Amino acid sequence: MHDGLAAPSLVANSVAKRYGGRTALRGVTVGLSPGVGVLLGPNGAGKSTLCRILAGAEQPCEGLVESSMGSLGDRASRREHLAVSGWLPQAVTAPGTTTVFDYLNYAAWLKGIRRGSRPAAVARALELTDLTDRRRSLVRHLSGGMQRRLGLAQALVNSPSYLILDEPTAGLDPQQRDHLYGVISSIASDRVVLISTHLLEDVAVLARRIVVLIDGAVRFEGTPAAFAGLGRGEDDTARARSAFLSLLAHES
Amino acid sequence: MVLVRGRVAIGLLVLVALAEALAVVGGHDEWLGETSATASRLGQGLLLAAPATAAAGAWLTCQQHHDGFRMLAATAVVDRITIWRRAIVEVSAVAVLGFLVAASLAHAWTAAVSGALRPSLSMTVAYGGFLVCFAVAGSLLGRIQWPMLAVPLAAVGSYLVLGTLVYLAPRYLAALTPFDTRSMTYYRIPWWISLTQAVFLLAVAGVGYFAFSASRGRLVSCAWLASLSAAALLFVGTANRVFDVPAAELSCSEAAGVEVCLPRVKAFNTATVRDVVLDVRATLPGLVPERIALIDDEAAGVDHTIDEELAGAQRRASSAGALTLTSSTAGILGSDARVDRNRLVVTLAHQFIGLPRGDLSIPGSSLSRGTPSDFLLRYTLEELDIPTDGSAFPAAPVVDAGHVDYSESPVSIDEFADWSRARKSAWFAEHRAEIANGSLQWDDFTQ
Repeated sequence: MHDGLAAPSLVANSVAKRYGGRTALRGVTVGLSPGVGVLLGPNGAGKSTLCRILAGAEQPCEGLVESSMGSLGDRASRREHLAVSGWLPQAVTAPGTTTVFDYLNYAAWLKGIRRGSRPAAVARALELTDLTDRRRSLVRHLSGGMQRRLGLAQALVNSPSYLILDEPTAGLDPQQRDHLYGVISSIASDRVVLISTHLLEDVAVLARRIVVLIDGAVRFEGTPAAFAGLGRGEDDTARARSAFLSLLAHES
Repeated sequence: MVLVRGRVAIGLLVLVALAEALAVVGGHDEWLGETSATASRLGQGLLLAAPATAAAGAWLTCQQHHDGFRMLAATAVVDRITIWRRAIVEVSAVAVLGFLVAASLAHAWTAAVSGALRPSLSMTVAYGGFLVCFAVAGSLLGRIQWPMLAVPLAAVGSYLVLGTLVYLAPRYLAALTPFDTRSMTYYRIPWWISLTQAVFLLAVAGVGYFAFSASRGRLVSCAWLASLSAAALLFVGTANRVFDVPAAELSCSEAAGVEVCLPRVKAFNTATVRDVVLDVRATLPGLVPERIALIDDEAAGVDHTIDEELAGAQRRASSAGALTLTSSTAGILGSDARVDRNRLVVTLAHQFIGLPRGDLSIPGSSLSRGTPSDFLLRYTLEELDIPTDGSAFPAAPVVDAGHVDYSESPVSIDEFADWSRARKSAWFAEHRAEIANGSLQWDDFTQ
């Protein structure tokens, strides 16, 4: 946590991102506050690009990203932001010859955690992701689900105030998914958590705020209730599905 | 340590230590018995240790470019150059540790054998700089990001570059690095040269490191430092070694009428030398005097302190009425700088038994004509259980009956050996001059 500061916030203001001739994001404006925000969108909508930019892994071509530390365009502010943010990319492939502990210890060092605090930080991340008994295992000996949890552990190792999770439930079995929901719920009250997903089940369980991104632009931003109100159905999941499909249909 | 995991670190440490141990143990038959000779062998061990370090550096940097690490680095608080530096520091630390382990054992062995322990700290720093240089070089190759290419390239490339320099430019290699294949007894590389070499090597490593950092100032500083230190080292040249006076100082000891004076680093051979002299004296009674001084003058003419010591030892022996034999033991050293008993016996025997002149071949025969000198030498060697067929050591005398015709001898070796000590003593004393100048005749055995 970023102790001693006001509640964290993360705002993307008119953010655009292009890769060569392809536009991934166009004028995206999103405001995130403590709690879980869910980023919904079809494949290729620009969700991962927005996650990378909010995590500080990439810089936007246009627009501004601001956290409580200041603009991420400013070098010092970005560094401060990186120290208190965690990012789980869509695909995490840790080197197979590394142990779980070494990998997380290295991640902690990269996050600027002091040597004396690193073992405790790693232990906490291992505990949160239920990997404590595999700390000495080589990464290549972990199952796909465990490797996903290891990715989550590296994102949590610095107890981030900003947690950006790109498809965190992909590859997890229902039991592991429930565990992950529990972890995220337990830490989200005073942190900014953004989950990129295409699973409406994630929306139903976690979302306090929903952002729908289609073709690099925000098509909806609001509460789950408002989102469900866009659709029809007998329960929340059915209404959310209907709402999402109607947004997609409207776009096409 | 994070990147260098336990097994990898131990692997590199063992490889470096093994390479060094191989260099020291493999060269024990040429070892001169001094710390500087041990250090020189350790330097030659870098021929294998450096490629191992470079390969580890390449592997580790490749690892850092693995998706899993690159993703972490993308949102790291520490900067890119610091991340790279960590790989270099970890590899260097493990490699230097491996070197220190081997060097400590090698110097402890040197101290145990020769009793002289003076490892050079500056030289050790230079060796460390050498390994750091190769860690950086390997790490630079690791930026290829393809371990299957970078790691073998780093290992084989380093070996080939070093090997090529060893054969094609040994002078420059010895001037710029602690890699020196020359063996020079009692000479060591002065500390300031080793230190300059360390500065040069670390500056070269710095050039490689800062070439990829934003710090152009530091890059230029390292380049300047490398150039200046290289210029200084090349100007000084490779011949600039320092005579190690304490190593060459004479250590004299007298017992049973035999005084042995050896350079301090070889003084551990004193008892062996004395035993050999006593054996030869007992075998050749009346020929070898009761009082004898054997003085090693290998280090003569280099330093006035040593020359004064040699002159003092000779004066002391003369005034005590001892026969003074002054020669170098350099030619009679075997493995681990220990005196080769066989060589010493033959050397001593030749001091008293002169070789006859003239053609000793027998027309139409593979045998050579045996002379009384051959006979006495054969008797001496057989009495002291030393092979007479030339197998005692390379270029050993061949005086056995299979190669030399002793048919002219009026006595057999066994009969001569059975002579009483008093008879032998009287006979040797009577014929001392003829024996010494090689003019002894077969008839002399019947008188």
